[in-house]
Formats: sequence, C-alpha cells, structure tokens
Amino acid sequence: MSSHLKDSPIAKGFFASLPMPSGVRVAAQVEGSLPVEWRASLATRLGGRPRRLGLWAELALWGARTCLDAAGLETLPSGARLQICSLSGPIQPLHAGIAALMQGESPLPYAFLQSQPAIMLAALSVHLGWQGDAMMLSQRAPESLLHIASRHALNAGTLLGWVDEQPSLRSDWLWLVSK
Amino acid sequence: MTCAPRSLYVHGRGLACALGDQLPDALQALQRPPPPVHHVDIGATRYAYRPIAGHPIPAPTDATGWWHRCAQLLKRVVGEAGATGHEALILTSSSFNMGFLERGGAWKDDGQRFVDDVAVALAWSGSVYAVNTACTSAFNGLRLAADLLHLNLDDPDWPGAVVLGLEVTNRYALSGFAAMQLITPLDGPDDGMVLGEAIAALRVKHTPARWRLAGSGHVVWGQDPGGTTATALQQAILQALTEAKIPASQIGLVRSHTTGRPPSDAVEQAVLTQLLPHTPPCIALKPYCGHTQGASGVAELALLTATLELDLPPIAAHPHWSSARHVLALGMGFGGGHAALILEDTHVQSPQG
Repeated sequence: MSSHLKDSPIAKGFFASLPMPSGVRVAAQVEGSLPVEWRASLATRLGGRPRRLGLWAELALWGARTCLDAAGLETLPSGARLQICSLSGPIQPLHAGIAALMQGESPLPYAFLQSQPAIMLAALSVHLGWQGDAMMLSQRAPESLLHIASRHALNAGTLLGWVDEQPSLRSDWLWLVSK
Repeated sequence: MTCAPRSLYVHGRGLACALGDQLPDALQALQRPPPPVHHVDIGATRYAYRPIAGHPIPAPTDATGWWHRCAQLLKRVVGEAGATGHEALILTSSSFNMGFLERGGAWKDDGQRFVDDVAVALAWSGSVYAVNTACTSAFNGLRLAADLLHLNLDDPDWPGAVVLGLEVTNRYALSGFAAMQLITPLDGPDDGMVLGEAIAALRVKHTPARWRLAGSGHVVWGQDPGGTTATALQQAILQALTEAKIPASQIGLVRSHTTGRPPSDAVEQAVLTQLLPHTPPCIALKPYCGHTQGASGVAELALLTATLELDLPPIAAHPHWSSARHVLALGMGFGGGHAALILEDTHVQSPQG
C-alpha cells in the first residue's frame, strides 16, 4: 500500500488563510495552538467534565464550544450544519481497541463507542443544544471542504471544524454565515 | 425528457455482498430464501455473519490477504458501475481498514492513508473524499455528491461522482456490536441483527437517467446515540419530502432500515405508519445481505433499483409490491444519525398520471 497524494496545506496552515467563497463570511473562528488548560476550560464552561468522551471528541467539543462563544451564541442555531474533517479520527481508542482484540480481548462498550467517529457528532448535538445535519467528511484539500461548507452556510450557517489527535492536537473551527 | 437542473441521476451500479460478488448474481439470489449465515467466533462466543459470497475470509493474521481481497473486489465493483476514474470518489465506511489493522497490518501516519491507498489501487484521478457517519455514511455520501454537483453547476462536463460503500470483514466491529449487545450469539434466543460485508458503488451525475435522487434529509439527535429517535426520523423524512417537493402520499415504496433489533425497528415502523398512513409496501433487505453498516445505503439502493428495473421482487416482498414513482429509503446509525432519501423512478407515471 502506498500513497500518491501529497500532504495538503492544511497540515501546516489553517482554514482562514484560504480565500473565502463568495457570499459567506467568517463570523467567528478558533485556530492555532490550543491553550495548555483547554480541558479544564471546557469543564468550567460546561459545568463539569463531559462524561464518557474520548480525547478526540473532547477536543472537538472544546473547539466548537469556543467558536460559538466567540460568535456570542449559546447554542448552534436550528437549521445550521456541522461539518467536521479529521485525518486521524479517534486514533487512540481505536488503536487500544484493536490491540486488545489482537490479544483476545473484546472492547468494553464505551471504549468501542469512543473509537467511533460519529459519536462525536452526538456529543456536539447534546452540548451545543442542537439537532440537525452533521457530517464527518474528510479530504486533504481544505479548499474543497470550505466550498462545501460555504454552500450550506448560505442557509442557516455552517460550523466547520478540523479536529485531529495526531501528529499534534488540533481543533480549528470557523462559524460561517451568509454575508 | 428534459434535464432537470440540480438533480443527480444514477448512471451505474456495482455490488459485491453476501448474495453474490456481482449485481446479477445478487439479483438471482434475491429470488430465493436468504442464504445460510456464516459464523465468526469472538472469544468463546459464535456470532452470525454474512460475508461476501465466493471470497473466503482471510486468516486472522493475513493482513496482506485482506488488502488483496479488498482491492480485487473494489476493482470489480467500480468496474461494474462503469466508473472512469475521473469522477469524484466518495468512500463511505464505518470500519475502513480495521480488518487489515487487526490482522497486524501497519498503521499509517493518518487514517486518510487508507483512502489514498484505495484511490491508488483504482488508479483514480478524480478528487477523493471519505464520509464516516456510521451506518448513515452511504446516505451522506450521496448527499455529498449532490453538494459537489451544486459546486460544479457551471461545468457541463462535470464527470459526476462514485459513491463507494465499503464494509470489509473485521472482527473489531463484530466484537464492538457484541459488547453493546446489538448482536446476539448465534445460538441465542432470537435472530436479531446480523452484520454483513459489502462493497457497493453508485455512479451518479447530472445528465438524466432512469433514477433521480429527488430529495434527502439527515438529522443528528445526540440524546440517544445508539438508537432510533422518532422525532429525528420524522424530521429527516419531512426534509426529504420537502426537498423532493412531493406529499407523503406519493411515496409508493419504502426500503426500511430494519436491522432486526426490535426496539429500533418498532420506532421506525411507528414513524412510517404515522407519516405514511396510506401504508405503501415496505421491503427490508438486511435479512438477505446482513447489516452492511457504512455501505448499507449504497448496497441496498443498488440492489433495490436493479430489482425494480427488472421487476424481480424479492421472495419476501410485500404482496402488493409493484413499481413506484417515488421510493423512500431510510438509514440510522451510531451517533444519532437519521437519514432519509427519496429516489424517483422517471420511467413510472406519477399517481396523477
């Protein structure tokens, strides 16, 4: 197995450095290095540490919550869309689960759930007080992801995130709305 | 026939599943009772499973064999769908290469490398995407294809997209589902949900063909991430009807999600009864090919549309089964995803004539 695709700029840069598609604007953003105390600040913001979430989902929740706070929004508006990209996914629980399986052990229910990317969407739904369209969509070209997100932003807004556990922790978010 | 702008049409299909490793074989198998289940042992417990017919599962330590089998089936299915490799490739899966990793295959620097490897194996030149929303992945892959169409409206030569569902044998998903008691041991008190394996492709583009993707809806409801929630399913169906611009009464056939889990299946049936009081015929295909998770939407739509074109109802079809102008397909998944899709058969007259 080999790869013919080069690493994309997103590995080094961020969404907001890209030209914005017409008709939409960035109403809030969270980008760059994570604060050292990000986990503690999330727990403070939520009134307690979120239960039964793995690192990756918690990372997503921190970024999404922080981005909405920057936009002055308590909840994600009804009709808005969530679109999240990740190249790593929840790699740590998946690695642990498969290693355990290879040793003849079955995963525990919550360990298995933590290894499923879609569980992060459920966590965001609960903690952002929202039910609606959400997509885990990965691609190496951030421009393409931004254009897809922008199409939906023309309606009720799109919360666009890029969340990775590896090679370093990342939780970059844009709140895109119609101009 | 005029070209309806902003619509996607199905131009090709490919399928390898428990019913056969190509679509004609699967259609023939659908005329017979479901084939016997295979089994997989997880520890001391035995679970039912429906692997792709005619392709033995590689040994638990044979990572290379897993990949070669996967690549061979991918090429076959994509070829059957008539793909050129210039389309956008949308890979939808829950488990991607877990079967490779659990056999000792090397972990790459990121999860997207497997998607890259699939593109290389298929000599793909178009852009490549991966969608993972668990068992609604294939539905969302089709919805992504609609997004890509909208972004390419100015390009009359847009080559379209291939939505490629991939759920290849792995014990990790089986053991996880077992841990969550979503599947029951083979000798258990009921049949319950049976997981299955599939690689399936739908090739879609903007030029008219028989099947049009008329509308879709998707709602994540996080309060019950492992089950089906009536309100969310209702919302997804209503979104799809609104987008398709048809009343519920025009749905003439339903392809239900029906996994064999009584609680979720009961919620789904209650919602269908409420929203579709004219009770159109309903078909469940998972008893034939198992629950193929992230591939199930594509696999079952490939099977269903081919069945309807050939007027070959499955042996377990509703007694009033017939062709229908509008077909509603449903899917639900981990993470609280509820998806609805309406397909329009443009060769069938609408109820109003």
